[in-house]
Amino acid sequence: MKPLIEAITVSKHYEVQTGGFLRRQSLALRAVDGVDLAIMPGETLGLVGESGCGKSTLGRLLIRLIPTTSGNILFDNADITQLNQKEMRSVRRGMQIVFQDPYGALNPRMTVEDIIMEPLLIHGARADAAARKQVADLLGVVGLPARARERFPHEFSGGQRQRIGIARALVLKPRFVVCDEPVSALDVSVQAQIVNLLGDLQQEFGLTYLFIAHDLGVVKHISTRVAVMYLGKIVEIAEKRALYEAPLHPYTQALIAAVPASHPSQRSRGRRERQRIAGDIPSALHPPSGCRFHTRCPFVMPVCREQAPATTEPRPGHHVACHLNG
Amino acid sequence: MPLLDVQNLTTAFQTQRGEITAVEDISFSLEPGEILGIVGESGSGKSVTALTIMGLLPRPPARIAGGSIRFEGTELTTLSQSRMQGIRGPGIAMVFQEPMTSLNPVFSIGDQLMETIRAHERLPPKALFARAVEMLDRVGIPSASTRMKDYPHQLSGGQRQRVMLAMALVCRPRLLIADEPTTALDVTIQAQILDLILDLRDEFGMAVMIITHNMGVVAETADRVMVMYAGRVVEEAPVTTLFDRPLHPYTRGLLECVPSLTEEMDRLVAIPGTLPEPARRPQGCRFAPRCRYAEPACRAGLPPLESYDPGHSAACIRVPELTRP
Ligand SMILES: Nc1ncnc2c1ncn2[C@@H]1O[C@H](COP(=O)(O)OP(=O)(O)OP(=O)(O)O)[C@@H](O)[C@H]1O
Ligand SMILES: Nc1ncnc2c1ncn2[C@@H]1O[C@H](COP(=O)(O)OP(=O)(O)OP(=O)(O)O)[C@@H](O)[C@H]1O
Ligand code: SF4
Ligand code: SF4
Ligand SMILES: [Mg+2]
Ligand SMILES: [Mg+2]
Repeated sequence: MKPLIEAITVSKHYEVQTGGFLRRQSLALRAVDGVDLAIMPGETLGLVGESGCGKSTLGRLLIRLIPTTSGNILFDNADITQLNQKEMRSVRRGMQIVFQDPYGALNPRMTVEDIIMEPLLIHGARADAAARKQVADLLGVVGLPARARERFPHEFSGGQRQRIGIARALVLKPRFVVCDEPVSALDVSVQAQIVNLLGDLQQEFGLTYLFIAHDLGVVKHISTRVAVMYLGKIVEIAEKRALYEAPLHPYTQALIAAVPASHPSQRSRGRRERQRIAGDIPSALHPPSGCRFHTRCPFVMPVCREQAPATTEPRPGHHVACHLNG
Repeated sequence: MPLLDVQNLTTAFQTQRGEITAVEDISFSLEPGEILGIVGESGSGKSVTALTIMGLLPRPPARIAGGSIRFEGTELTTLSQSRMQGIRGPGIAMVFQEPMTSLNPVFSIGDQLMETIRAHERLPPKALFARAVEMLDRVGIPSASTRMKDYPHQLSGGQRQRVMLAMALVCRPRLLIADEPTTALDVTIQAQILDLILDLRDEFGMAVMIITHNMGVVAETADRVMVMYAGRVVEEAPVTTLFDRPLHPYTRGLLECVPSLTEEMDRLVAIPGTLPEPARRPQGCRFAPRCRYAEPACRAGLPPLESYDPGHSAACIRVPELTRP
């Protein structure tokens, strides 16, 4: 099977001004740095990592919401990094995004119907009976009442707003949807509703997802495979069971060890002592030399400070970038 | 005598559309050194409970419509502002949900820490500085003495939360109220902060009220748990009992809907619907519109909080039949 979407050594560098008035200098912030990734049709690739590691940037790059600094992105085997605006337009229909913030992502002055219909109009459809029928059908699909049509976003709860955002992303019948923390802002009870909905929609429409989230439990539930990101790089990627049951990268091990217990008898205070990682994620402006995780890694070796580890495949389908697995 | 004893507390707000009760008839107590977890969905009244205890809600629009709050035997609901000031800090300290709103951006963290100490203790400048550095060091800020000069914006989110903890702990409070102390943080940092709170509890013997919507945080830290729904307590139990034998359908729902790292399920068990706003609460049991066990009798009146085992109570009229083996 060929991947639906593929990233080949993709990078995104932002120019950032630093220093005071006199020592102002421009630095390249490597938000995404040489990432290789392939997502198969119909699968959900989970993407986890600490705040600022580049998850949203990578998601936006894959659907070309933002341009790459270097590298290529293939959608259905066609390179989309070089397309002009007009060519991009027809490809864009196939790739959509659902955002984290159900409050900020919807225009407060538009009715729900207009919000969901807007992408259709942008792609040349007319606001006719057929378009309205499509919106009405979608409202049903995402579990909103038909009368939601003429209401405004502020009249809905967070979970309902997220349903509106999902309907909007689906109206163009995309094949690939980037879900950028779609449930992070929701209460756990409502979070479960939306996770179930995303699963149902995937079955019904054969969708392929990149699912970005902080919550490792939710990611495990919804994903086929999971990728772990640290300071702009993918450090490990594997089928979900392999990743959670036998993580190879020390960072992945630390992330999993940090997840709070699901029962008081499994309190991790003692268990964590061994795998605890100290401190915060370093600044992406000044990433550590060699392996970027070396400043926090409990297994750091001299070579880690000098050389960036190459990505290896110690087991079929299980990729990791760490000198311990070289 | 318990350290904190809250009885039948009701807090209301005047709003443009009339008065709403954010917290209604809640009772609980805390022993020295004990950790009480308070869980519930957004809007269930967790922060209002905390802020009422701290005496930090402006009145009006807030009003304590009933009940009492006793801290070490002193009634707080009728205490003057100046005497309340003396309790905040060495008696009860709080870490707020939004770290940036409670750190002043124009003062260095060292100045803010020293100011907090100065408000309650007279210390020579050197000792004052040393005490602040010691506290920063204790909460895990690296090279604390040089970081004293830093401003809040120079810190990462995790470091800011640590500084907030340092500010709360610098007067060695007997009760720490931590309102979602880790919600905005990554799991790695969350684990560090929770360990820190537990360490400090062991070291200073302070009691902790930890407010969260994350059942994992409760499982990691609490001795006892209170579950809130739409302003009321729906269940209270020792932590292991709550996880093993939850009685209220809402508590069961909360425990079921979180995907676990160890078990796999085809679908998550979601609770349908959403929490009602205070002005639109249903008649009778407030959870009834979302409850899979609801029956007409549930809508007849508010289910009272009944005790089923020592220390284990729930507010659901169907507990006896639903828990029959
Ligand atoms: N437009 C921009 N200009 C400059 N820097 C940016 C820009 N967008 C993102 N960054 C930086 O790029 C890095 C990656 O950001 P990104 O938003 O992709 O992280 P993330 O993993 O999605 O984090 P979070 O979990 O907080 O959403 C961060 O250091 C961020 O500050
Ligand atoms: N100053 C206020 N005026 C009017 N209503 C208020 C005020 N503060 C809180 N409320 C209402 O009281 C209820 C309880 O709010 P509270 O902040 O205690 O919820 P919470 O459980 O802490 O939620 P979250 O998890 O979102 O922090 C909510 O319905 C809220 O809208
Ligand atoms: S390469 Fe070295 S520092 Fe990096 S994760 Fe592996 S052992 Fe740790
Ligand atoms: S009283 Fe009735 S509606 Fe309320 S929780 Fe119990 S069974 Fe459900
Ligand atoms: Mg992001
Ligand atoms: Mg709150």
